[in-house]
Amino acid sequence: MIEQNECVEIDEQRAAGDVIDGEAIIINLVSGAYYSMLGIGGEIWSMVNARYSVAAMREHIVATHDVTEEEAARDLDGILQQLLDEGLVRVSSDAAVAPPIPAGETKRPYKAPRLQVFRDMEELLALDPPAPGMNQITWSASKSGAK
Amino acid sequence: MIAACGAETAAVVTSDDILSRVKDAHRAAEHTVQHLRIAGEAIELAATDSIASFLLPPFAHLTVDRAQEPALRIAVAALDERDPLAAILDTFPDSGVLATEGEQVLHLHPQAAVTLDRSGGMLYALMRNDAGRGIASWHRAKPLQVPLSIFFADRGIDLLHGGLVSLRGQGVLIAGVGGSGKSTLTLASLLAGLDILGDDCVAMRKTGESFTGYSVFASTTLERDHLRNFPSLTRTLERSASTDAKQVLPLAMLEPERTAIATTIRAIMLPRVTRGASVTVTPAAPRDALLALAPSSILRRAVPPAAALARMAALARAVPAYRLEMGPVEEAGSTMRAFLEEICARGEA
Repeated sequence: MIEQNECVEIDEQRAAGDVIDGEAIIINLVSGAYYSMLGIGGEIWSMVNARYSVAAMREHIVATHDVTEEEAARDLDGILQQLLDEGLVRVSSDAAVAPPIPAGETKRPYKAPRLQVFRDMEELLALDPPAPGMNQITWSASKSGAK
Repeated sequence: MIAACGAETAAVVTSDDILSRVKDAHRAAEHTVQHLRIAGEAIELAATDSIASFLLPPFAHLTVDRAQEPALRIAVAALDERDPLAAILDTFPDSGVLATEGEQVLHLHPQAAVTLDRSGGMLYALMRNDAGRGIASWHRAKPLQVPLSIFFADRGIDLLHGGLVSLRGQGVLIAGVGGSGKSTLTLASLLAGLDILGDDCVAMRKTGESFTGYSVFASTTLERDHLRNFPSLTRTLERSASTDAKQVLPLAMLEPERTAIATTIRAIMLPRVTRGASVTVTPAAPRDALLALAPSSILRRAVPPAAALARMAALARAVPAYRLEMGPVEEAGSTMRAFLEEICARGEA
């Protein structure tokens, strides 16, 4: 159970993700599974990336989408737990202060977040694993563009 | 200095050991030096003659006159089968083990012991070259792929898991998981008259909103079963003693004048083998292109994952993607040619 004032942060040794057309594409760097977060999943991934607390995420979703607080909270808890279960994020008490939500914003239709899992690469890597130690390499941000 | 232990032995392999032995070998034996330009980077490749025969052909099309100080100097020497190091390397898995400390990287696998000095721009390798034992097809076709991926990643250049074909400088990236038909579609495109930059591993550099694709290896591997789709290619097949199920195809020797070096990536094609009666091309979403391209490009190579994924996502947003349902192989090639002819015509209009 994640507390409302906590956030989940991306475990960069284990996961990389990006949002494309509102959908988050995430790669599990350890298992080889990869994921698509559908619905408002892209927005949630962006808020995870920005280290919003669970409460701030929920408030943002309710303020910008046509959804009840109960439904938003239930869906958010569910998807964050899935991300935790897949080993993509970890719980942190170091949440960032979320920016204020603009007043009077038109609410968008709500589509529940859903995690689609692809395991084909996971199976391939189990048979023919990459060299251990690859994820130990450190990257210079100025040279490689790494964060 | 960096060191790693053998997987089932207490023996230690060090970067200094590899370095000094390669230097000694180059002092003692004849060696060939080639100057290359790969993805815009000047690279010097020096190999003792016994290794050069299999190491240099995959890079032959990238040879240039020495014009500038190389960003990377590669020195390679042969590893004798009687050398105790050969027995140590045999204890490692096929993909090897990577050890890193600061700017030093050590990659040890059954085919080679490699050390890369990232800041110094030096790569030393001791490689097996025992035709009787058989060199793995992936190593013969794409030598030094892991350390090269680190060298390129340090410069913001990504090695992509995909094929790349072009016409008059306009390119189509062919992406998909293993078995989707990337190699088949790439070779069909070559036979239909398109230029080829690679069928499985190519480089990409993002410059502003433009994406340039580069050839890295001019050799590829193909499942022996798939060769029946290309009877005209079998006459030039390399006679290799590979012990695996793949055959090495020296692309630069097949159609040397059709081996291109760089192209602007204008579209992403996602093939699927259907064995239907005809070939169909339909638009695909950017997310489909990213899902086809990113996982296998990132998971199998040493790259900064978030940065590489961001660049691939930028590519998927910037260029259109299509699904190609692959029926007859010849028709797939002519479809790719017509597709690129149309892109060229639009660009020239």
